[in-house]
Amino acid sequence: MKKAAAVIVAIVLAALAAFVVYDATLNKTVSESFFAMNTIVSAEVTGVSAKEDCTEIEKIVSRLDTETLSRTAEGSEIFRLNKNGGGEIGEKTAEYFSLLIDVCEKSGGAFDFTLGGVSDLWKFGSNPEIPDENALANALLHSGYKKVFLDGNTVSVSDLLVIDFGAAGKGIALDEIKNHLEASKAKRAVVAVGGSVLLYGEGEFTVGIRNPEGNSGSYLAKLKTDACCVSTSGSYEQSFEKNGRIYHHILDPKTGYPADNEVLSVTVVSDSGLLSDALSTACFVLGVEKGFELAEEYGARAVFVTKDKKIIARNNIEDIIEITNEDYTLVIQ
Amino acid sequence: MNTKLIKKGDLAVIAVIVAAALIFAFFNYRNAENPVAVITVDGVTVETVDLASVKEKITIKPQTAFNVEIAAENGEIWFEHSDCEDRLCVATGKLKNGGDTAVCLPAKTVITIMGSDVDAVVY
Amino acid sequence: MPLFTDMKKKNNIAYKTALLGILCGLALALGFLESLLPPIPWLPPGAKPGFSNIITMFTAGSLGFPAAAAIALAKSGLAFVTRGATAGIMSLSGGILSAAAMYLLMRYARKALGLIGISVICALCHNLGQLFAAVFITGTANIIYYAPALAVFGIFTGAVTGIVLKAVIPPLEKLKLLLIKNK
Repeated sequence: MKKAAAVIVAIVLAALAAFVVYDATLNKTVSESFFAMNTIVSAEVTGVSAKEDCTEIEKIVSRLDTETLSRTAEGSEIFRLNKNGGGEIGEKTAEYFSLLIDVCEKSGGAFDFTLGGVSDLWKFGSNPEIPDENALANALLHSGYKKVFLDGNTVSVSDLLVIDFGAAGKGIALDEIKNHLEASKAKRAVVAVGGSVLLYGEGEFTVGIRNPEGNSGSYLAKLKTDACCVSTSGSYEQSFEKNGRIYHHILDPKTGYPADNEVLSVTVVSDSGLLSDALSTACFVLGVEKGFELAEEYGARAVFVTKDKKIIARNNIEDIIEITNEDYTLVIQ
Repeated sequence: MNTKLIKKGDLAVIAVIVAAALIFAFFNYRNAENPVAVITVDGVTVETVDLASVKEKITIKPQTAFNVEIAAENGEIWFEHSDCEDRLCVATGKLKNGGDTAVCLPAKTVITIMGSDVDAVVY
Repeated sequence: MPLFTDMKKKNNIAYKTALLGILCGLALALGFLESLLPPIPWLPPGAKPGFSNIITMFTAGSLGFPAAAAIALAKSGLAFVTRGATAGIMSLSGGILSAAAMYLLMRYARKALGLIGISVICALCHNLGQLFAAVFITGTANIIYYAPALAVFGIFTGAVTGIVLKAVIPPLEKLKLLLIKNK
């Protein structure tokens, strides 16, 4: 009897151990973070190939930066376009290009990827300063998405403007990572390129919206969502104070100065990383009303945090948003 | 003196306590993959910090009866300074794992690390 | 033979008061010595082995719960004066709860449990009382995260207390007999 009991216990334990090991390999979670595209990229992937996926994600982001998006890396597609005043680009890049032109048009110019010359004058990211008025006006004159034309894979530019995909680059990275994950065996992944996040795979995800007045890392609301991309544009991210005024890095293409309205931050949820990233910038410049309209045109959802401590959403997002900071009130429009 | 130092019942008591502690710890200390520090003063949550996305060292000064300074950096958070009498909170040191807790009783301030209820913070 | 000479039958107030005074002094002295110890790593600072529980336990067993509660009260009074209000409240809640547990266990659980078992439970009650006080003061249930670490720590300190108690019962009993003789 005793022997039989011992054998049964041993079998049960062995089965349990086997299951634990099996489950652990299938649902292995690997987290990695690294520096790329001038920001911190952190990836958390679950699946048999989690380790390889993380390595690949790092390669994808740095390759995307050096071969396509970077304005400073010699040999990148954008670098060559700016240097030669146009030229041939790859098929994928052409796709991003036409999507971004579309956002420029639909936003009525609130989003504009030709402001490289203007943003250079502000020196955000190094020693930000208020640019000389004349220099700014001149740079603004030599910008405008309407001067950029895409024909197939050929870009032609009718002015000396500087193309800058900075406001959509992180989102494009998320899209490329998503493409890789779909081809891999990953079950679930959370990848953050700077403050833009890709939520991939099964189940529900929860994303915190950064508290504009709090420390980095503190959030004021939670969004529950299925797999998607989420980006935020906030005036707190890169800003400086001069003569009692705060200047932030989200420039209004019409004036060349930081967009000045009631908005502190906009968070956009979309299936496309590029759209979530570009639309968050566009919506910030447009303000609440027009911002909502633009987001909805793309089937995206937006959440605005405003200076009067309101979190404004439309009812397409109401059931998935939860306020965690008592100072703010939720307004559903 | 016939009262024994140890009896079988003692072992049972100890076994039950250890088991209870292990079960409690298991359910509370896992799920801390995205640690967030929750700071409460007098029972009210005053700040929730996602430790993974703290880039540079930050300092938090909650409104309490005393001058209390909390700092966070590199995925860790701690009481940097306190004007309370015993400074046990400062002596607790740096917190980083789920369940880690530091308390400043005189200031009614508690920092607890919990498994985050968010997968990421967008900014 | 009972563990402790049962003093209730002697019904001598002066004798009891004198004994309680001596025990009280011992408890305070042990508590003070303990406060000189450095913080113990891995544990919430403020967690102490609770050596003065040896005295509280002996008192609860020989003089009853009121006497043990009086010692707990004296200890928390000292904490209040020397370390502030919060320390006083913590000491009081822990002390009273463990004294009550000690009295009840000494009375009703002596058959099932040895000294180690009893003092382990007392140490736990002491920690629990302090934890509840801390929850009450901070208004946050979050600090029950400390409970497992405190429980395991309580097992060790409780066992130590039990062993020491076993060793010091004879001299303490002698102290008692000495007082009776001099009556």
